[in-house]
Amino acid sequence: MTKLLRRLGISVLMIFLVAALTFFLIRLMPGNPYEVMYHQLLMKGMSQQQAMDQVRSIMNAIPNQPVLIQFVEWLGQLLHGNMGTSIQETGVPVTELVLNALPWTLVTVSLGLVISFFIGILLGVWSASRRNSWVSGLIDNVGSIAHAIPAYVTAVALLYLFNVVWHVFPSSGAYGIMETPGLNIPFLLSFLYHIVLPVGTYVLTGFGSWELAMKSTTITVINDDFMMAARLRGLPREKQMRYLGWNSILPLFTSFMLSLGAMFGGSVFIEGTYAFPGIGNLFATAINSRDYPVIQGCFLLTTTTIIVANVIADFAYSKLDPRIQA
Amino acid sequence: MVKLRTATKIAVALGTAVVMTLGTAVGAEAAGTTTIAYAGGWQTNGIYNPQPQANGNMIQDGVAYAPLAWYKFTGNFDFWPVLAKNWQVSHGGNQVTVHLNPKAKWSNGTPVTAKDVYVTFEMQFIVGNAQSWGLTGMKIVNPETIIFYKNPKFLYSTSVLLQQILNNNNIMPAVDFQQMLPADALLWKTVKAAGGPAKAKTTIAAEALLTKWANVIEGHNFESPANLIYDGPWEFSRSTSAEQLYVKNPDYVLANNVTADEMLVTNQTTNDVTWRALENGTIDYAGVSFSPPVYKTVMSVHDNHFVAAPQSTGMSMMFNENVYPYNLIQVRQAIAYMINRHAARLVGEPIGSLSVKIPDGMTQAANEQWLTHSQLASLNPYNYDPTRAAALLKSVGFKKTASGWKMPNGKPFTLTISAPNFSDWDAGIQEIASQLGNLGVKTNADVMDSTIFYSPTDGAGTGKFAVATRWWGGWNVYPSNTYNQAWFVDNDYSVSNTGQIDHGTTGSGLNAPMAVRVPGLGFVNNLKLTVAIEGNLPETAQRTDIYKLAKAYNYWVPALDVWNQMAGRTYSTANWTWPDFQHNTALLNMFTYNNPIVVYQSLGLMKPKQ
Repeated sequence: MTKLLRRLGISVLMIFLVAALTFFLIRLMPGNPYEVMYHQLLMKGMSQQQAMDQVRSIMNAIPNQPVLIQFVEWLGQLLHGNMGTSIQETGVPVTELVLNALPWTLVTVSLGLVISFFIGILLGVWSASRRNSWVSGLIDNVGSIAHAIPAYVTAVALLYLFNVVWHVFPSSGAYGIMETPGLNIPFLLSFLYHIVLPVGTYVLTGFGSWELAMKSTTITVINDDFMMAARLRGLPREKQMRYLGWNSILPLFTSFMLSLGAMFGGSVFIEGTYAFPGIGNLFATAINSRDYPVIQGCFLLTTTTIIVANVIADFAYSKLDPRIQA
Repeated sequence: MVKLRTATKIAVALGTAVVMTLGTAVGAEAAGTTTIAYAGGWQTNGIYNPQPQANGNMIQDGVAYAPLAWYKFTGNFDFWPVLAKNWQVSHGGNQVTVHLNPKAKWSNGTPVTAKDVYVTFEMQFIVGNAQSWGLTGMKIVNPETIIFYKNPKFLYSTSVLLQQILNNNNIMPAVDFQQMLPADALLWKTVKAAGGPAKAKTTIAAEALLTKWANVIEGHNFESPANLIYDGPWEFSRSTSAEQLYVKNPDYVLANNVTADEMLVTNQTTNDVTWRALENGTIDYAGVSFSPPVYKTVMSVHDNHFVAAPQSTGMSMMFNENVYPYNLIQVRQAIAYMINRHAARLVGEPIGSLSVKIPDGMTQAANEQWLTHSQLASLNPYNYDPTRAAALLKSVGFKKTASGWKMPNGKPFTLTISAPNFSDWDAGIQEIASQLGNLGVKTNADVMDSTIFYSPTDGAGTGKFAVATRWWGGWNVYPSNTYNQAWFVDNDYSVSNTGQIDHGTTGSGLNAPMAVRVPGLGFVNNLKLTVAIEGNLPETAQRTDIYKLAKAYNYWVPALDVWNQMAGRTYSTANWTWPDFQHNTALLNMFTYNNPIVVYQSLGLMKPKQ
């Protein structure tokens, strides 16, 4: 229990440190919300004076005080569970924006991660068990290439093939315009139809790393003494494979948990391409408009997810592999 | 392994079946419905609030809301009436009386009244817009008539004032917005106080109050399209992150002309969303242009066509006359002769632009509208002429050496052009740098993030750059905008409501003098002339002044207009017939200044092909 509390304490401290760091870092980006809006108004054809007046009128609510004071105020709000309000979408609470966007990303990221993980595991074990065959080499190379291609390139390629050339899947959005979100069959079918390509992108860009990692650990485990013993004792192949799989997959567990948080970051590119209403899209829009409170909210979510996943992985791992406790 | 293979086969079969079912179900569309589609844009996580200044507004307000009239951007006073039946300008341009069309109705069947117009423009006062046109107040005469009052001492073109009142503001429903507004008396008292001396406590307090009200209005989320009423051709029905559906508003004043039962809008989150939609044939109109490779692909399918509509702006290079040697007119003129503007345009903006024939601050269309043939002939086209450039440079002590041009002090003549990172400007500036380099002026293109370039504190407008790019043309067909931008906005001058001209203190992009000596014209006071054409001069006098301004700009070269930006748009004739806009400037202008589908549908100029 003490260990758990200490670990939680460290996690909270880490979240705070990362949040504080990002608070200052995002303010070092070129431009600020005033300048972005000023620029947008200029692009709409306003004169510089008109644009300036308009910005003053619309954004007067932003405090002009020193950054340190802004930080203290932001921290105070955060301790009360308040992440502030959006600058770009005047007055809308950041929490509301994040909570509206989160479910869409959570479902697609989780599905993508789980599917890519299982495909990677299966292919990894298969490739390891036939590591001297050409098929193993083929799987490894395909996995490496798929993983090396940036997600946004894969997304555009999938869109081109499945939307432009073959007209099989929709190009954007999370559901059809005629559906009403909720627990109803037409919406759920439409949602499944719309997430095929985004989830496909996560899977294609993700399975390769799992496959290679799994192959690597499997080859190590396959030569362990206990596997030798299993073979010498003539245990059925299915049982051998279970021993092999179970022991090989353990090192990947932590990576799997961490990937959940990391994939929020990856969703920035994928959701932008598919006009998907999730965290990635929210994040990208906020960065473009220098909407500081929303950027901080998205960073906080990603940071917290990664750190919490890490804690869960640490404790779960020790349960899954008793050797760790020793 | 046999089990695995069987499972794989079953999974593939099931997957295919699901996809086929989903695809069929989702692709279903009501028979007999005519739908027109265009590429719009909104923030995925935005709010429902049609107030134009509202940030993150998801409503395509030009589709769901209508103005009093649409300006044709041709003659000074040419409009198509929409919600207004007619209007009169009186009292020397200081009163505008608008009579509403009695048939104008909201989507719930209630009439559009003068109260709706009043509330719409009250909100314009709250955000500080209406004051900048010189408006001081309004009066509802009866439910169908409203009068706008302008400060008689405030200099503002009647043509532009009419554009602001009739064209630039869609009429909002009083029933939806009135509860957010302060009481009338308090509002007008505050508006008046906010116009007081800048540093007075009462002014500051009033401005703060206006901002507070503006934030309430602009931050309000109506939560759902169903919570609003509409006076435009289509009512907002549904929205996802990728699409929005608008259905025909049977109560729209011009509903009889509208042939599209539905308007489907695609969210242009990125340019490739639009390219894909055009390649797929799923949109009929997109307000975008393309790079040449994409252009070829898009134009080869689905009866897609490109149109370049006139626009009163473009890229120019401005010279900071506070920096040597750009204070020398000979140097500015020499640079103008050294640049092959046509070649730079072909590199920077090959598809959606026109070459500038005569760099005088106005577009070619405005030149032809306001200047006579002989006046145009008296202007210098600054055609590419390195020999004349060399002579001009030598006349002010520059020397050509093997390593390039040297200034009279013996230092190399080098030039840095600062520009925002717009891809077309970047490419154009690189080409210009290359051209100047070939003629012995080592030129560096300093391309930076646009937010830095346009920063109010450090950007080009503060005079911190020697040579920088700028938008020229003033974004309006009326020449006062052109010269107002050049001689006032980009030159750090301001004019008070009563015509008092003041110089700012922060420095500016051009730093050009108020008056310049022009051969044949003597001293031309650009600022005074610009102010004069802002007022209500007779057209003959305006033409005289506009020629002087054009001649002065052309001779003095405060900036060199490189190309005239066109509004590059794409439309498809696969599903709809379009009017012959190529032979009708007013219709063609709608591609630049409006949503052409909205205007053409409202005027009964589009028909479905099936």
